[in-house]
Amino acid sequence: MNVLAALLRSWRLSKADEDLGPCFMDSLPYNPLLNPLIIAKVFAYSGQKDLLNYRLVCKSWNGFATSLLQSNSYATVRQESDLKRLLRLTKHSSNSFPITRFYIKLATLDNTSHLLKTLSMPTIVSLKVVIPSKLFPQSLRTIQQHMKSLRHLVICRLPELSFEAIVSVSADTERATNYGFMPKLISLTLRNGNPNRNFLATYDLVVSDFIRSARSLKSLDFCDWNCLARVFRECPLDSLKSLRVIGGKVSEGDLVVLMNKKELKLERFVARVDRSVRKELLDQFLKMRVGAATSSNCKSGSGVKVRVTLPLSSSPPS
Amino acid sequence: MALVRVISSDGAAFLVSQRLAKRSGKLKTEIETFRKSSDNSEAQPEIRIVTIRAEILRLVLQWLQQHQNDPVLPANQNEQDGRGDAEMGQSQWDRDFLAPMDLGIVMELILAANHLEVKGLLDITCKLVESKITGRTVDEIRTAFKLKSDFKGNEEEQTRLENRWCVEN
Repeated sequence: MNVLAALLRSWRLSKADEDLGPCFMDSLPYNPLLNPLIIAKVFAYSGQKDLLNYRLVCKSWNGFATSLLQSNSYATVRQESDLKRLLRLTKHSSNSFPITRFYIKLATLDNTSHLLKTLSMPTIVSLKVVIPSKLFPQSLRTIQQHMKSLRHLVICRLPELSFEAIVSVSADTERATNYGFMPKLISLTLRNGNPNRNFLATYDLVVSDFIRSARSLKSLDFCDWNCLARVFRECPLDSLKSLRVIGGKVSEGDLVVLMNKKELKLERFVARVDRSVRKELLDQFLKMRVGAATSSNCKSGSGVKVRVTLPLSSSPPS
Repeated sequence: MALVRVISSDGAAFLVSQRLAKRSGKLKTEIETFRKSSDNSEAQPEIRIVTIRAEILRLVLQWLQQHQNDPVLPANQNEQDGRGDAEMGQSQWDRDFLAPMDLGIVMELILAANHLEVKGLLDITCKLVESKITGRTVDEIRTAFKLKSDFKGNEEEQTRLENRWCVEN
């Protein structure tokens, strides 16, 4: 059997020689396929499957193919067994793993520590993750502590089913200011995984601390998130350019808080405002913080995108 | 018309216009250096390319001749992902130009285009090489391009396992 396999192998190799020409490489002064510029150009036309294959050729090809894959491929994790295998593979070094963008979408978690271990992989740059409510504070802190290279984060938090699921966060540990900064995070989306239910525990200080740690955050989205007031109050939001509140409502109090943030200058504001909000206040807010003179259902002017949905019963804006 | 003599490693001289030669980054620099060091502004520059033989140099010049009226792109434009112009518009002429060449000539052309800094030619030849290696097994690539496996210990096996995870997810 082995002899047969060896014969087949040598036949395949000699066939490859015939196709490609046997010794043309010998006459070259150096191997062009070890020159970084040339490899980069050759690999630029390759698909993911080929690049994975090229990783096995030699160390320098491995390095080039890996960095190219890291910049443009992603993976979806649906099974806990896949997550376990990923953790085993990246146990010693996660720098050489060819994927840095993960969508971790696990419906059930038998052993939640696997998720938390994944959240401490330092090279991940983009992450979408579904987190059960009881793991929410712990997960945010793990991310804040370990994932310094993260640029884009989408957290889908599943609401609690009962009060028993709430983890008590004691007053002294609730503030997470000691967990370090997220220097590269530019976009953050916080989503309620089940819009029919509100969160019982808001963990709004945990959320605020997390947002505060992202000093260069440009885009912040809340989807069906029912606890915004304190988050707005606690976070400076200086660097923010885009704020979207989808599914929830922005109250007059929220607008006043945002209006008092002197450094805030939004280029995009998408929100549904509560019916209690006075039109004058909204106009003033848009003028001061979004750079638009008037509010309407859909308004864009001077390169600034504003979409404010007013309650149906209030008088239509002029 | 100002001319320049370009001499290959095996001594063949090609007389080409300076305008054409200057489309190669390397030749352009050489011509400018010659101008600065020469007292006689009318003197004809002579550039010796010691790494490129006549057959290959002729092909490079032939390609330059065909593309002499293409707009010159700044070095980094359209380079965000390493892809060059080949993607945008590889002409029928380019395809006919490359078609009869065996891979050995193509590899020499790549080295020449890289040395002479002729970006467009480098792009199309690299793309051709990619089309030759896509779908090949690791052993075939190693044998054909004389690349040696330099993995140590279980590095290759680890890479194989990582690849399998990536393919499955």
